[in-house]
Amino acid sequence: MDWELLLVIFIVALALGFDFINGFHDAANSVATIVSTRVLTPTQAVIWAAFFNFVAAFGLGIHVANTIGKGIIETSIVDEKLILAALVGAIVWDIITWRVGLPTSSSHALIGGLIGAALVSAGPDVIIKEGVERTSAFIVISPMVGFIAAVFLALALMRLYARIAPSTAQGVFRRLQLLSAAAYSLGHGTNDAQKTMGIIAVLLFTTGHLGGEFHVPIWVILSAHAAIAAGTLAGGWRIVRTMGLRITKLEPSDGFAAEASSAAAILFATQVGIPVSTTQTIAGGIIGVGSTKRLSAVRWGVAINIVIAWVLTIPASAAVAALTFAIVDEF
Amino acid sequence: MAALVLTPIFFALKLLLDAGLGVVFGTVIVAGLLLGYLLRQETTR
Repeated sequence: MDWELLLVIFIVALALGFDFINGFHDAANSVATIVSTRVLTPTQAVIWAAFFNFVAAFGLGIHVANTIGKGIIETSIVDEKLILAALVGAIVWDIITWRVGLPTSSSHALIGGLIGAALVSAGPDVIIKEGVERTSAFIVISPMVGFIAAVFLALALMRLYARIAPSTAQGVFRRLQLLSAAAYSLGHGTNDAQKTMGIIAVLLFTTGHLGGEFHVPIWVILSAHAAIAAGTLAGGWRIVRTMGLRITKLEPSDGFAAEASSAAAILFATQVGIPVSTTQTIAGGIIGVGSTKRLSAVRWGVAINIVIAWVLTIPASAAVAALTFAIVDEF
Repeated sequence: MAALVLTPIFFALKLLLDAGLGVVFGTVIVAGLLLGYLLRQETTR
């Protein structure tokens, strides 16, 4: 019995489990606005989002997978124990924040996990500064861009509204929101599934199962997208309520503006290879459209709780991963 | 309409990113805070 191969298979399964949890935890955001505007029922919205999470496997590149796989820590120090610790750190933090209903970032939990395990394994020299800096900067840039784009789009739509009967306009935006929700789910699927792909690919590469050159096999791409789509189907309604209903009240045109601007921000980041939090980006978009009504329309208490969780995510998941690595390294 | 609004924003973002991470970071933060301030002025009248 090849125990090393069994361990690799176990960690690949765990990574896909993380992807499933990511779908359960994060992908619910894909459906929050379209449910809160009552364009689709929760069941319809979840199926719609899961479908586009999977479709995102085709044609949107693997830049983010490359960043996660070889752009955060040096591949030379990666082994089964390090990836196992990184995943445990990210999963534990995801479960804690899900339990308390905070829409934090699974993506940054994974990056925190990698950093924490790498620090204990080989010290700070193996952290790739540029990759961590770009990712960290986009923790702030991504929701801010979602916010800015949503404000401009919502204001433009308000001007358009002035020339059309409100009932006609809302009818149009109810249909358009199907497209914006699909675009958001595509963005979510491609950016988030690629993080799991990167983890699996670097594990396979460093354990000699991928040949001489780092790449992402097609079976890894398809299984990562299938896992995140399954996670979305499984739901995550605590977070749906937080994102869609508790931050601000939404009309179909608002939902369209929030989703379209967030989708554009996520797809942009994906194309330049930056792993971003889809949760943070849609939160920025929702706050943006809420702010165009009046700032008091945004429930800032909820928004501030989310921001606190964002700040804690990388250090907390890094700490759990570091502890996990220290324990598994004893065996 | 959405394309007309979003395309220039993301084109500008790409140019800023090409100019450097510090540039895009600073510009986005300042723009976001300024926009928030202007919205506050407009929506509290």
